[in-house]
Amino acid sequence: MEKNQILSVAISGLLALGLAGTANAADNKPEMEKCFGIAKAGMNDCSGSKSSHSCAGQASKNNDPMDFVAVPKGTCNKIANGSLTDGGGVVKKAM
Amino acid sequence: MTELIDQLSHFAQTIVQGKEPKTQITNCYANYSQNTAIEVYRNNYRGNLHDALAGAYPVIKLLVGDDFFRMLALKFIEHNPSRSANLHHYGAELPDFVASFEPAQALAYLSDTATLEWACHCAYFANDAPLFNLAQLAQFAPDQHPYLVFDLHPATRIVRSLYPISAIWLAHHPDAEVDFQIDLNSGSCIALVCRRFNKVEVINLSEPEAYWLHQILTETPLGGSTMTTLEHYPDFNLQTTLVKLVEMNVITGVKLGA
Amino acid sequence: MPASKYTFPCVAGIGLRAPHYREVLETLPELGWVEVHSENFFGGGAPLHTLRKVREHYPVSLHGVGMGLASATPLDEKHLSDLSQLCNDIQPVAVSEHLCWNAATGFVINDLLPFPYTREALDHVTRRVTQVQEKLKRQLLVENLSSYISFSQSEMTEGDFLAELTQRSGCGILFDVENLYVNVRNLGVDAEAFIKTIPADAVKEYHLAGFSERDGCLVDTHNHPVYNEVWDLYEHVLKHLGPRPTLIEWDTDIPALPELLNEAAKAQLIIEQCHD
Repeated sequence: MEKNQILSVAISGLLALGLAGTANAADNKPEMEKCFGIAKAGMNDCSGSKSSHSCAGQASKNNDPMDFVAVPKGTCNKIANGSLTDGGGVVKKAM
Repeated sequence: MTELIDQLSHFAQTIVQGKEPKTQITNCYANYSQNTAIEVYRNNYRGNLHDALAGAYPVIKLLVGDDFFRMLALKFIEHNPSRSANLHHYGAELPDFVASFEPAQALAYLSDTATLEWACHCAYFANDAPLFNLAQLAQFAPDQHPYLVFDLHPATRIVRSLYPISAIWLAHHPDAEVDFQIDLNSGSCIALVCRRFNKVEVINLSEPEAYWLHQILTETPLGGSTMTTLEHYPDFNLQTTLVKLVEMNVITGVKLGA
Repeated sequence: MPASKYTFPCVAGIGLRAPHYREVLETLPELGWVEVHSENFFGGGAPLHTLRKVREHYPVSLHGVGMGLASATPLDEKHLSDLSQLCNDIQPVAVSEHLCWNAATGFVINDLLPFPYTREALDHVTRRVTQVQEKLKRQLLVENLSSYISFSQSEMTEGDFLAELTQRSGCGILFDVENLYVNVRNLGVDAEAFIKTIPADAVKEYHLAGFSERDGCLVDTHNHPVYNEVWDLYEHVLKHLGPRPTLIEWDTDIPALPELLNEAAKAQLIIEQCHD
């Protein structure tokens, strides 16, 4: 296919889909997101989302990190071959 | 102004760098010591930055757990002072820091996942863009098509990784199943971060799509971008790619290039 | 309490935070007005979209935490233009900032920090408040601060400083009653003298909140209902300076919406008693 033809065929294809009302995002009415989209993606719970800016002082003490090395204890345990303890092959370096 | 500058600079050093406060700082009431007061400010400084990081990196926090995240964040804050009054700008360097953070070395994918999260964080707050108007595209004649330049939504980011970071991110999404199974050896991915209906989304791109989109991102006209991509990837499908990117609200406008 | 979205009604409002966005928009509780932190709505996307929806139903006040009116660095033009853009979009009934600093050469500290109340600082803050008001083309309300330290270099009280600042710049005052109470307890500030110093005409809004105590120091944590001592002080202030729109602030350990609304109802009762 000629260069211009490749482009024009693709664009006509897009326009055909769009004009049929299926592809163009503009034609879809935004649905109400969970929490009106305000819970940041990745947050597990809307009510847990915390805006960063506040005029309040810190209620909890944030002391300097303790000397002992903490071990990750989250959902990382669910990822197969994700760490040395699984005997996975992707880790180069021991702790 | 010079006195005020000196006074505030010294107070800033006391809070951020742990310097001894000057004697001009007094608390003239007897309920607590000067050290207590200074420690309240130091605690606010650390706490506000910790909370900003927790807001920007919710998936990293879930992956490593609250205690580990707190330690990671406090170590990061020690080495990365804030530079913006807007807390949403804080934490761009966390992915690099994670990569070199000894206690996290066992989690090889953590740094790339953080890079993806920062891209999502930036996408969340990115400026709005108009929805793509197909009628605008329809105005151009076929002989103008090679010279078209697309506007992309300000939220658009591409993140590459040797690890399945899109799957990891999606597994922590509010809509995801509570239980998930991801094998880190399932391979690399090219994550596209975009925003539609005010919601940040992550989808995967194929190599040809990513190659093409990289050129579009640098405002290379449609003709040149497509031809170069086809030279490298003969099976690249322009129409499918265009439809996908319009649907995902990545392409928001089109104009004739210079 | 029907009121135009464009006038600041002299009733109680609440600080609207993320955990309550959904419930407020779905249930539309009877509520005089809401206040949000300006910086959380800079840029576009979901936050701005949500605030626009809120604005359709309630008067909105924008409360900034990042302008650093007393900072020893040039005013952050980007921050100011982001705020200006947000104001144009939301058409708030009030725009406020704190009498504090957050940046010095080489440092940004994302907190509300006190400074010595000197003539030099007064000139400096006056210039910057004027600059902000010119950019926003409206009056700025400046809030008194809760402090954990004071400076021996201060040449006047915070009250004197604020009073003169309003006179010189034309700004208004956001009188945070809890902040005054914290300063009374922490620093021995004279509440009566402070209230007498503040020009009643300049006061456009009150804040109320809860604090906590750490090793003898009261910390402005906004994590608790308003304490009785602060309610008493609030009533006292209203008798001297008159009722104004009054906000309940709750930022940490945020309660269920009904509890927050209940706090606002208490403030509303005091406002109405004061009107009688």
